Amino acid sequence: MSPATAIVFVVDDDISVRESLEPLIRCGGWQPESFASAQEFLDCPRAPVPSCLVLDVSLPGLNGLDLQNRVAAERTDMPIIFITGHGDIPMTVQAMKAGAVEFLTKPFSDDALLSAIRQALERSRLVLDHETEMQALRDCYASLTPRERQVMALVVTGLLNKQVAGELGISEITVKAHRGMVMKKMKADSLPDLVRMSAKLDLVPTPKG
Amino acid sequence: MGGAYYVGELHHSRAGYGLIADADGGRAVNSDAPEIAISSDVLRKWQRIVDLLANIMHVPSAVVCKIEPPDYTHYTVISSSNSTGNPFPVDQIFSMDIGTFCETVIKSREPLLVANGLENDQWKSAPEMRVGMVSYLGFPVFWPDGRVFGTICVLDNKTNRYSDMYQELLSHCRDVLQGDLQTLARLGSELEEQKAHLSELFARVPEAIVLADRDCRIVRVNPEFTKIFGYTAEEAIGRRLQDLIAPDELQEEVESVMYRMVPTGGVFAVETVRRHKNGMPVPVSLLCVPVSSLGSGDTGYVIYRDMTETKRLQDEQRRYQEIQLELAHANRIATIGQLSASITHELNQPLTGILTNCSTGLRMLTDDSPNLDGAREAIRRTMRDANRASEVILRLRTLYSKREVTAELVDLNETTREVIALSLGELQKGQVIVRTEFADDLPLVIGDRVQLQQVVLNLLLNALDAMIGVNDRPRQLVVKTHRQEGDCVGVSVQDSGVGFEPHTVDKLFEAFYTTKQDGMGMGLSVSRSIIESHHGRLWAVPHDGAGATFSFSIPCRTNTNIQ
Repeated sequence: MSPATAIVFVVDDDISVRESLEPLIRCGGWQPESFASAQEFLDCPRAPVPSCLVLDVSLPGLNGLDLQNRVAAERTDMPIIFITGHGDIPMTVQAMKAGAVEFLTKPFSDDALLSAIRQALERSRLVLDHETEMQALRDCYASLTPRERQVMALVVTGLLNKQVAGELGISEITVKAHRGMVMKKMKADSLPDLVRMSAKLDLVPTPKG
Repeated sequence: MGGAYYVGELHHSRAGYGLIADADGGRAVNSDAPEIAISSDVLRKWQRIVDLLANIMHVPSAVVCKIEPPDYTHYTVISSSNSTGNPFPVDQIFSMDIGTFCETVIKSREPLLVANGLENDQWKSAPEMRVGMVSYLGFPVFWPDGRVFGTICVLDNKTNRYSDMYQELLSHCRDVLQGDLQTLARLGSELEEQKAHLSELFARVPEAIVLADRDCRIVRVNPEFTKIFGYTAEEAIGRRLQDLIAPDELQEEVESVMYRMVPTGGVFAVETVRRHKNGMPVPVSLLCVPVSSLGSGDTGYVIYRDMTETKRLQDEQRRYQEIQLELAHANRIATIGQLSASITHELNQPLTGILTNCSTGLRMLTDDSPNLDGAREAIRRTMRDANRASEVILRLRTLYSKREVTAELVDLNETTREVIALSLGELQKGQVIVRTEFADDLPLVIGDRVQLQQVVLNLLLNALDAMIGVNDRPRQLVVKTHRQEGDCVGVSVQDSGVGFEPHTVDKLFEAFYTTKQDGMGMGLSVSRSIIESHHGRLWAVPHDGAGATFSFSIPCRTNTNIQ
């Protein structure tokens, strides 16, 4: 199995369900990994590939909704598809609010599950791509010197080089040089591009002193 | 000499009384005592005795005489020796006022020896002289109660002084006669007693007794017959049973019953219906007793027991059982209703497996390069899951069914395990941790498996309900099976729920008592009646800490066979 293959995790305490889902998932072209309890799943190391979790709501010990909370906090790249033998409305609402992709009541059709998995993996891929992008952005930002960060913070608020120089008490020439380094290190094509990056990095503009 | 035995006064003036026990003896004698017949075999024996006496003593006549009740005015020769020259034939009657030797012996209750009557003024005109019997030796013969029965005597046509040996012989023969009389009297009184008992039984037995002849005509009825069927004895006697008390539609049955009553037949019983004089049907249990010893054309007895009350009690009992069954069933349905989540879960798991396996198998087969091994495996799993689902259905169906109570061998471990499996979903939903401690080698009990499962289910769901509001401690359920003293087997369900106040323990098992908001208060009450019908008991103990334990125990009978 190539490392790029998406993994579909299954957590269900019932062997009939686990054993039937594994071949189906394999048919869909994904790698199934199944567990009988939430704890077994949590003990398993994560892989940097698109993944999703097919999760039974009622589990012995840590139940499905508890596990969802843990996953939502720790594994944002792993969307959850709930399956349940007795889904009631409050439970469904709670699960969907907490970000579940789908809530399927057993027995469900294979198409419903496969399309839910497809959708979940797409979401996972997006999250992963976004994460990759963010990571690159964060890496670029990390390469800036403190002075360059100061310059960047002021530039993205729309100040002219002269104004930036005035703010920082340095020469306009120096500001220009820093700004060039910032654009280069951040791999920004234009000022608006840099502004978008700043927003993504969630940099708070330094209030005017 | 024999005379020494009896010291009595002669009552010349009152012949009748004089024959009865003397005042000195102090014996109360009933002169009205029923006459005891001397049976033919006794008479044969006595004949042999008088024959021997005549032969041994070389006398022409040896005789046994019997004084005749009720007025004792004459006596009869009942045995007389077959010897040459014996002038006294059997059945010859003598009046008690002609002065015979025997008359004297009877009246005086003393033996008498007359060597030659012709030489004695007192006897020379005695009637015996006229038939040539001049000498006499006689002993009185007594009934066991002291009354005179008669005499045994020998007579000779010449002077005879009868040696001591002869006297002793005759006295001994007299004793033999008295022994026979004693036996006869005892048999007689026993017979009388039996007759009295039978009459009393006939009169007092709470069953109608009819004596019928071979034409089914009523010969005799007892008072209960009148009570049960309304006809007096006068109305009944002479009528045919089928005409009197048979309902029109049962004529044939009555006749066939009577037809079976042949003297050689056995006793037989029938439950049927007869008719009262007022036309109302009377349910009866009928017993036919053919009698062969009755003679005179009587076929036998028919005994009727009035079953009206018994039938009513049986109906009541049956209705009560039906109601109990209904209640148990209703409780079961209600209880299973509470299991809906469990049941859905139990069924959905295998159904999910089935559906997914089938669709996966289909995908594998319709693929461009079909995966036959994978499809085969999927089908195999499908079958396994289908079997699993059908087992769930089977378990449920027995619980749902309304049926008669059965007695079968039940393994309480298995029974309890099944119930836990059925309610596992419910328990998981309630976040209850279940622990089981099952005893090894638990003896089987005899009972109704479904009802016992119902009890365990009630206890489990009660425990669950008791813990549902508990959030400050683990919701822990411990289910144990155990062997108890006195050859009992038990199940206990221990929870960590809200428990109950010790003083409410008796109320817990009352119908309609509930502490739950939506409870009916039937569960424990039905459970207790189920356990009691298994001869067991169901009880509850609140814990010192949190929760309570509910237990039941029922006797196990390892060697009992189920019918």
